[in-house]
Amino acid sequence: MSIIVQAARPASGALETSPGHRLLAGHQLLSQGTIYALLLFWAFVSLFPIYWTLTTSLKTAVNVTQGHLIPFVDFVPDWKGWRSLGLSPDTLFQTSTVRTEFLRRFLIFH
Amino acid sequence: MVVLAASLGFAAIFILQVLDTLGVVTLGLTNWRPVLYGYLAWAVLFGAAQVMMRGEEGEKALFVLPAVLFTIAMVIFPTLFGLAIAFTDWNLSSAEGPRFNGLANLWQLMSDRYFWNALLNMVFYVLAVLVQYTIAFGLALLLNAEIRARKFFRVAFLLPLMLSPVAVSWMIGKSLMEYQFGPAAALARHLGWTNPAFFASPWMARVSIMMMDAWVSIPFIMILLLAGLQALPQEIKEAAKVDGATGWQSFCKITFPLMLPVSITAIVLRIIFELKLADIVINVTAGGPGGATDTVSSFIFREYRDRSNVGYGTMLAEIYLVVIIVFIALLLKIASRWMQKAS
Repeated sequence: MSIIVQAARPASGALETSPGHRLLAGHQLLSQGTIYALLLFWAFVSLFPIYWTLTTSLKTAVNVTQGHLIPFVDFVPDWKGWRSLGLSPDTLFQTSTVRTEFLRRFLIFH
Repeated sequence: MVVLAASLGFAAIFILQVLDTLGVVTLGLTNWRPVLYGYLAWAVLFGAAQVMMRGEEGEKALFVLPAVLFTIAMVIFPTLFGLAIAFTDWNLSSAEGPRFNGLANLWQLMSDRYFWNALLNMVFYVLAVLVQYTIAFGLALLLNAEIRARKFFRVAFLLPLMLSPVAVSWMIGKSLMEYQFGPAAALARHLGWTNPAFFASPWMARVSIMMMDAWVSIPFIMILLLAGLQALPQEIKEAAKVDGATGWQSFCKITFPLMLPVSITAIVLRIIFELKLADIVINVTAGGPGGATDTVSSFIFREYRDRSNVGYGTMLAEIYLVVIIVFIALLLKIASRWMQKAS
């Protein structure tokens, strides 16, 4: 019994340094490929709505209704939405009551 | 001297209260603010008296007193006062103020089809927490495995939790799942669903709401479980490996039982949050179609906002509070008994 334990210890100690050790010691349920496939799938699920919201803020109505997704490939980004808030590059340094009002509410500067 | 100061505080609030109640007739005070000031002054004096009278014991009491007095003023008093409102017929749109109407609100609630419907929906929403838990456990295991770019995946998986549910309901419910132009609808059409109306039929709408809710709350369960997984001692799993346990055995016999306390904490917390689910439902479907997605909270919200029915709405809220307390107490009891049996 004690021999087995002594034999096992250096082996696990050697595994400690090698990558993939935790997975080996752990479940071995899934192959590396499946793990990355699942991780990427859930990363897509988590990030796509945020990506879509950000790109849609740079679309005109036509681009939204036609379901274009990728900037510069599908559609040309347009600052229209940001301009109406006074937050596009060309309006950023002009005075804008909309922007002041928007930021005041957004950042709760009462 | 010290007792005098304390009783002076007492006297101050009593006089103010009496003045105010009489004030409706004599002084014409327009609001109840004097009582609040009286309460604050009394609280300060009461605290000071504690220290002066009881020395060190009083100083210890001073650490608890602010919280206790605040809870009394902000939680216990409104709950009891709400109980008084719950027995009145008080509609903001009618000219007359609150009128006492006995148990009429309670009878109305008993026969309110939409309330019972909302309560039944809550059963489905709470059951959905178990599905969220299963997915979250899987994700936590994935993140706990030896992987590259772990930080990226961790942040990506956590992002939905950092968004406001109101923003989520517009981002996803109102635009991504929009019938005509939403990418989710486009994808569903592409996969062969010719009429991807996510919020038209009762069950589809319910499942859509559950999916949005899961999107926001899975990261919450996941992060709790991940913390639990990382705190597990590695030696036990290694020992099992040496003894020749397969991956599945090691998960069922070691990881899962050791994770039970964390799991139960996560599930109970999530169920408590789930019982208060309202923001997504209000913003996306407003309870429709035909009350299929209604939660009790969103139903109460509409009772107040759309019908200005303060009396009945308060009765609903008070009854729901009782239901939640009973349900959570039973749940904790069952969970602790189950834990004892498991260990």
